[in-house]
Amino acid sequence: MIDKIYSWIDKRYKIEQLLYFSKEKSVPVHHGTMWYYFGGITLFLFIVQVMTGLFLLFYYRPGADSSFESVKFIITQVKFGWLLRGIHSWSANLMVLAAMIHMFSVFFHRSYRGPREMTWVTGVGMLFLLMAFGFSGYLLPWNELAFFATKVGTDSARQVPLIGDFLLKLMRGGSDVTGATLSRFFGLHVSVLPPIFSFMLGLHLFFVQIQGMSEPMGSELSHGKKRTMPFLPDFFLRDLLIWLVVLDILILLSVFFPWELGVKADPFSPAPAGIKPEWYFLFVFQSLKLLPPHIGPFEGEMLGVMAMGFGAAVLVLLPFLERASSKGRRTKLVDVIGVFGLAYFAVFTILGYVID
Amino acid sequence: MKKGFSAIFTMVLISTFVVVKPSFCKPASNSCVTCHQEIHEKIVADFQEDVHAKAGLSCQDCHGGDPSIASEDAMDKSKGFLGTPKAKEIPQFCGKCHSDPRLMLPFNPSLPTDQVEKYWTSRHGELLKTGDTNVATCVSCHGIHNIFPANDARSSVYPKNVPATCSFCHSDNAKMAPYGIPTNQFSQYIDSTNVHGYALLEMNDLGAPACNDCHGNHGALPPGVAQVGQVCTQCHSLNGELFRNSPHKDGFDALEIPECLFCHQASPEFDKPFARGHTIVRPTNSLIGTGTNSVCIECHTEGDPGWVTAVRMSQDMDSLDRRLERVEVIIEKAEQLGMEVSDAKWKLKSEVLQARMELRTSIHSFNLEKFIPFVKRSDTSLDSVEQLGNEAVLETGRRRTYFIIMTVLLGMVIIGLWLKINQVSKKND
Amino acid sequence: MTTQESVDPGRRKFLDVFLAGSGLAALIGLIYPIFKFFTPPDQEEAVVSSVNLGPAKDFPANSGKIFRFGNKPGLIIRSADGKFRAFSATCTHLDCIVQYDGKAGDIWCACHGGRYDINGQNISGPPPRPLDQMSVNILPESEEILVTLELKDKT
Repeated sequence: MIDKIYSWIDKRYKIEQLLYFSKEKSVPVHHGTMWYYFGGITLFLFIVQVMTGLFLLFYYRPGADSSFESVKFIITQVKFGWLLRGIHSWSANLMVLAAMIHMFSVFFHRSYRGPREMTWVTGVGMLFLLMAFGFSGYLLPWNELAFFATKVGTDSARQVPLIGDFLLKLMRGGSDVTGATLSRFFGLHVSVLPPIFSFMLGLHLFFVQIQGMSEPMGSELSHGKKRTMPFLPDFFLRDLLIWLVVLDILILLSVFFPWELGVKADPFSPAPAGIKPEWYFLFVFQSLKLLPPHIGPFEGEMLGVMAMGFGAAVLVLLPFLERASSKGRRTKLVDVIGVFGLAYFAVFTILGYVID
Repeated sequence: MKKGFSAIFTMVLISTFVVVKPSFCKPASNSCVTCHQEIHEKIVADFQEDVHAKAGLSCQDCHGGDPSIASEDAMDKSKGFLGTPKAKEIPQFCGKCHSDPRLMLPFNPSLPTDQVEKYWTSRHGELLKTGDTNVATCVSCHGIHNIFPANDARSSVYPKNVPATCSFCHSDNAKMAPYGIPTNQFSQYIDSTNVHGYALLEMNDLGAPACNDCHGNHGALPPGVAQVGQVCTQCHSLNGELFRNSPHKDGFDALEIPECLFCHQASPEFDKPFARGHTIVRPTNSLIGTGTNSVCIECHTEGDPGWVTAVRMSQDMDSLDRRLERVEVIIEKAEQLGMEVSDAKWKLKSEVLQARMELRTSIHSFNLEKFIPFVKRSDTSLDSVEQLGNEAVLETGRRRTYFIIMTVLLGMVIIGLWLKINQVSKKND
Repeated sequence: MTTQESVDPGRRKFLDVFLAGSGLAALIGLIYPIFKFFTPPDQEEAVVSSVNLGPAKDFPANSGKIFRFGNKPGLIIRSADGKFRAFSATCTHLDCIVQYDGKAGDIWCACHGGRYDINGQNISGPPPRPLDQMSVNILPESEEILVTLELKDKT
């Protein structure tokens, strides 16, 4: 019976080749193999996000006078609504974390080096998309904290030279954060970002399949001693195991640390003390806050925003800027920059929590 | 010659004035301002903002005289000049207009015109009549050339400013000495334990009573023992109604005890004739019952029906508050566990606290039959809140159970996968 | 390629069955909440900006009733002439809840005797400003009362 179905499909879609390919697919085994799992974890969390996001859409009602109420409805009236919403919120954060770990491991292993430049570019692109997901999703419950965090967050768009004011209005759907902003962010979160992300994810995975997994520099030379494990079933089983652990962690977080809803946003109330963006934006927020108002003839915040933009551009174009590793040379400078970047991120994030 | 010169001089002066400083009182011919702005600079400046100036009045409308005459003749008696009124003339001076409804109508139809009449009935007015010119007259409270309407925050009779205005004299030991009245009312009123002073001055509750709300405005008199209850009842109407129908009413009247004050003062000074009512504090449960702070034991003795009622009311209030505290802890706990408890909080505020307030009001019936239904209502609404709180806490338990079940199930799969991985990798070796 | 000695086929079979069984159980554990999630909850939709107070005939003339509006109490009044009006029931003085006084035909706060007229205007006592208004609509078919927060210019 199974054979019959198999041959029926195979006759039409030639899955024999696909199966052959996946049987042949193998994963290099070396001291850094564990870092390979973070890409898989990010992928798993993306699937979780898509699923829980779709479920939440069944009850969520975007709008300044219904968003908060419907989220409250989900977590109080809908059975297990608290769980799905909790998982969605927690998974979003863990996904950014997993993606960052994935990125830094790739960075320090120089896995972005040629010929895998485009894998890196799509990966960093997805990280930025994730941040856009996070930023837009954060506002959707329309609570006080999110409202003011969005106000502050979108306000820094004003500092972009030339088009700042336009950008601000474009993001907010007006000159202030209102129900119009909420509609925009909702549209962005559920119908603009997902297809773009899926497309980039497809490219990213496609590149990995074609080129195979990157190996640490220098290990290519010793072909004889190269160790691998088959992707199926060995590596996949390990992936699956980790995914299940992550899933259990998500349930644990949702049960013991339910994501707070807080109080409904009131645009006319004064901003509460201690407004903070999500942790992965905190270093940006804190950097901009610590900048002096004027640096030379420029506005401090404007320079800050420009520096962040410059940093993001460098990050995307890294494999093209750093050509040494593609030629097989390991430069200390890259490690130094990486450690500095990581330290900067860590220090400013911690500062963001410590300083009020 | 001299006259002609001074006329020219004045005309030059006036024209300068007109050109340079167009001002409030059609000054082309206002010799009052011309001459007085040097010697009475403050008066002229103050008056520009005065309510009377805003109404289009000028110096001569109160003081008489003819400002069109550019010499001292402007202040001739024949021109109706009145000059500065003496203290005892002031009520009549203001009353010229303020007691005449027809005159006041075009300016402010809703303003009463009985102030002067009332004033003569006040203690201030009574004393003024006897020739005591140290007492307050219109200007003592309202100001002289800087008078604002009472609803203007700059006014000395704006609710929040009234206590300070009265205290200007009433806190002055030297001024009050001849009358033998205390001077501590203001300090008692602004004390943070004073429920009314705190509400008015700290919480900006303009509805809270200042001095005049109990003592009257123009007919200021200390309310006597008999009137105290009436005064408080203006705002605390239910309490007053219950009290008047309570057994205490006749008893208090017979003993000439001031109704509300007897229980609600911070430190009873019943033997003293003055300084009552300025130390009203926020009532606590300890006021009722038979404890050391209770006021019931002042009259009631163990075993009499009042004693029994006091004990019961006190017990019920205390047990409600203890339970309320417990329920609040439950809700707080549920909240800390991350549960959405805004429903419970809403019920607590809108039902339980409302019921509790009505219960406290019903104490003033001093009648258990009227009191107990409110106890029951408070209890029932507290029950439903407690249930919501408990339900929320229970729900966290159910969530944990789900987590444990899932951890066991996922754990089994994970262990299975682990074994499978080992098996597979052995096969590969 | 394989070492028969190291992996006993019976043990292997058992492991596969164990994996399949526990996997199925875990899957059920995951699907159960999703299934429950889609089962319509008792209260069918999120309470948004209006409240349905039920049939108009349940409200006798010259009476008032406190109802819940979001996190605030509301007061609906049916005046003697049968007209409906609704307000926020929180007294604008302190936080007490106002009530309809059928005898006087106005709204009264028991705490400090503040009074509002039938249109919510503060007329005597401590309240500094009128009650916030809500609008009342009677649904055409069911004759049920729908109270909505009136849009007001808060700037």
